[in-house]
Amino acid sequence: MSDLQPDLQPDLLSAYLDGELTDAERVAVEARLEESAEWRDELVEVRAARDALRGLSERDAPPGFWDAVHARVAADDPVDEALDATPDDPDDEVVVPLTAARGSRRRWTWIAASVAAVAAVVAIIVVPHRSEVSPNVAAVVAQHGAQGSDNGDPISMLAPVGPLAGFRR
Amino acid sequence: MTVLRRPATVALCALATFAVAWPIAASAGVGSDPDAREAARLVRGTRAAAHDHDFTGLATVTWTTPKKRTAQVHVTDVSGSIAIAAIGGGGAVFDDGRRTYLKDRLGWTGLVVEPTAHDLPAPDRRWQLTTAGTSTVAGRPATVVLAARPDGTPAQRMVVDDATGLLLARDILGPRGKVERSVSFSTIDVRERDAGPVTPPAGVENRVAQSLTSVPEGYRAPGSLSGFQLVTRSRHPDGVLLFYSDGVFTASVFEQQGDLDWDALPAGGTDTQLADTRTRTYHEASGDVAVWERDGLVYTCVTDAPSDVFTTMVGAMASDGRSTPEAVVDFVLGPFGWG
Repeated sequence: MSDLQPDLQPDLLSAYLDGELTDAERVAVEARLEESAEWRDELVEVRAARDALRGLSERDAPPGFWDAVHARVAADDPVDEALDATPDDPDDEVVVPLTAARGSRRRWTWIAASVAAVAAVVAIIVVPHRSEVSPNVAAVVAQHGAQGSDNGDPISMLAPVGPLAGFRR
Repeated sequence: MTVLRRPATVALCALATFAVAWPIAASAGVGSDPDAREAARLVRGTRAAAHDHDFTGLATVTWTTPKKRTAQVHVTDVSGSIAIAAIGGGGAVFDDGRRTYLKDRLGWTGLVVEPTAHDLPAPDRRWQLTTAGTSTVAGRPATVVLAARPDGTPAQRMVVDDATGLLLARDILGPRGKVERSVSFSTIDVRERDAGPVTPPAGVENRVAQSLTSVPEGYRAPGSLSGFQLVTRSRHPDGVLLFYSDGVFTASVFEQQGDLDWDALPAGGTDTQLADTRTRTYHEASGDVAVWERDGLVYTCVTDAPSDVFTTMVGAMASDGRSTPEAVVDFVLGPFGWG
């Protein structure tokens, strides 16, 4: 990628494959791709990395994971227990030193915040969620021609795929 | 009583015999038509002829978008390896019978290798096949084979080379007889097996799709779909691909989990309603394409079938499968090869 110009950055290739460029950017990238073997090589690498990333399987959190997280956060907060105690019952009265309470609250606040942050990250990574899908229509059409050629006359199935080159994404 | 019972028994036996024998006899009747048998043989033969003969030629591809479009391609077939190059454009295809590569303006890409299909439906399973005289294509004598709808209107016209069995021309015909897509050789040179090999592009790899015996939870795979039979199913990194055949035409349905990003679809499509489902359709050289979403799945369907067959099939898929009468007919006549 030594011939990259300042106005055409390599990260454009990823956006290009995702169909996220403006028309002007797309034209500029395609012009560069036609003239530069390095750009084409880079595109192959970006495409391979992108496909590999998409090929990763989603995994569910282990059974009971979320229950354990919630139970741990709820059970380990003595400040909340103190505030929930009823003053009518002297046995339940708890005097909480302000300094200690402040220190404990701060510690547990940090722990809770950390757990929440970790949970948020884990949720993003492992919990299945519906995402937006943009089918690669050209790829499906080409794939159909290829598979149809194995199951019927190959010429009439493959010949129309050639002109497909202009039908990208 | 005996006198009365005997005719009733005889009548019941006759009825039962007729109920069992009629579909078999009718099915056998279709197969015993010499012309239909010859037509089916010619259609089946095109599958093998391209592997058995080496040739080069120029073919013209036409399709309607609805504006008529035409492209010319150069075809080379050596030992079953096929190279196709679009003339005046950068598009090219290479296929060695198992692996397929596509070249566009960005270079070569290896397509995913799909599982091999077994038990393809017979060409005359759904379509009435007949020969329809002779023709000459690219200077070669040939036989015309029609595949007709139940009402008799042809859905496909194939022209099969008399000497080699190669398919020289194929027209896909709409319900009113209009040619919707076609591939036809303008020149063809059939050679002996001494031509140099055609080779795949170097350094381009193909991934292999994972063959499935059933689709994962959350996906749908109807076993039959408006006359098409499910032939293969495979797992791709981003979805599931289903491949259907009705013996003459084929269809692929690619399913992805998620919500369809309509704005990211390619330009040139038309929004329409099929089975009360918003659908984006495209008319491409390879076939008609439809994209829609339903119950958390995004469907992309492509088929080389005529527009009326395409519409019915997509409508069935979008409306959650076959209609009840169709399911009943498939159930009753399926064992006899009808459906």
